[in-house]
Amino acid sequence: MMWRNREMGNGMADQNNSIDITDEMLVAYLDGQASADEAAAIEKKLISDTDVSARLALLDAGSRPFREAFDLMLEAAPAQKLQEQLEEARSTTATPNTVSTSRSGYWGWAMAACLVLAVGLGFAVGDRFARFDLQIVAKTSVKKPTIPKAKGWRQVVADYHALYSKETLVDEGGDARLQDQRLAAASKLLSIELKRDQLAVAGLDYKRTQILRFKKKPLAQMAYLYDGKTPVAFCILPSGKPAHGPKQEVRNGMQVVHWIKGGFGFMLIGKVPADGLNKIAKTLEGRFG
Amino acid sequence: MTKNNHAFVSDGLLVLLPRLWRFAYTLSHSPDIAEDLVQAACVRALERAEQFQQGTNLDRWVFTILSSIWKNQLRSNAVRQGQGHVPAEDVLTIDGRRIADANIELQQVLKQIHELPEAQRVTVLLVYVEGMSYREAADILEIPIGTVMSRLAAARASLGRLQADMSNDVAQPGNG
Repeated sequence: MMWRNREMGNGMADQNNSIDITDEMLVAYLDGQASADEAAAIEKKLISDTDVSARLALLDAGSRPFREAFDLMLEAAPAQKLQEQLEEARSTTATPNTVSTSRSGYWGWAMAACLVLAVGLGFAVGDRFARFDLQIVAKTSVKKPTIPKAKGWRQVVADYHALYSKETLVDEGGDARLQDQRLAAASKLLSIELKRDQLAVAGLDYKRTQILRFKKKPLAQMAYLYDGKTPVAFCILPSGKPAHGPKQEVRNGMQVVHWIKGGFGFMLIGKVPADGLNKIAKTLEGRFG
Repeated sequence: MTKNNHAFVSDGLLVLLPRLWRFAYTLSHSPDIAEDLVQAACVRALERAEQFQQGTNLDRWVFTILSSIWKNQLRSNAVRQGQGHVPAEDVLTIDGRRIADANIELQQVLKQIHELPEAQRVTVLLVYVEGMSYREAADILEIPIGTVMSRLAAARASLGRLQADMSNDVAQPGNG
């Protein structure tokens, strides 16, 4: 630390008592950024020097829940405007090569923008669970003439899932307490029991649960990695439609198995072999609804 | 690898947008300038995407770019013209509606911090909110590490005094 070089240049520990303890040193101490030597010098001084202890108390009183307060601002960011600006910047700076190989033109990208931002925001707001309305996707995509106007939830989920990569999930799932909180919150919102052991399936590595929303209905999305690299999602939302058993389909080049049971729609999606996904779907079908 | 870098930076920026806007607003205290600043930072980051080394921190890199644009291009004009100043408590809106569930105490904290001088509040943001080390904050703001520490000390002393004043006010209502 700079101050240490300045104030303790002779490096003699027994001179600690004679150094001036500045507010900068005290803040570093409070922030846990002071070295053990520095901390020891401050602590020694605190015992005998009431001025130092009073200053430390003042600086300590200057602490605030900084992060929580500033996180309020993330929600206030003009997301749509910023995304439009970024898209403009992206297209004006892209080389012809980049344009021709980009995902799927403007609307595909705009849709990705919506989702990635919302997800980013969801995580950024910390213990507020990642929530956003999947209808955003439907609204955005309406502008693209080749996409049907009213997309059902499976297509919206498929569009969302298409953006997932190994990197989206590989570092997730570390905080067991948070994971359990999210599961509990999802259970409550959907009125369906969701427990970790019910969600554990052979062949899939459970990563996280997110609470999403589709047409004002809560949608729980449990994300997994298959073979350590392929994202698979298991989604549940309340459904008033007649029950039916597992059906298979392909959306956006990914395998989908879906069924309705006990007032809930279920959907399993991932770019994995159909047989493997069917097997997993059967296991899950037996546990829910 | 220019193509990959452009896509990589572009995707990364997308996720960073709310944090970049928060940083830009904290610097400028103007929602309009904040938007311009974020856009300018995105353009420059994308123009220089090939210089970005994947595996290093994209957020630190873009924050540095944004800070530099503010310092070298926008700050003097914005300060001179005093344009578009909007207090922090008034930007807590979504589509013009106030954030309904915003905690009142946290709003108060945000207000207190935003009343600090620019140099202090932005250092508080980088270190205490963005979780950067003193060194990283110093690099982004292009100032010595000792200045980071003195800004934090000054910010905390001000907030500490504010806290003491508020406690005194509560302790001395004299109504009883």
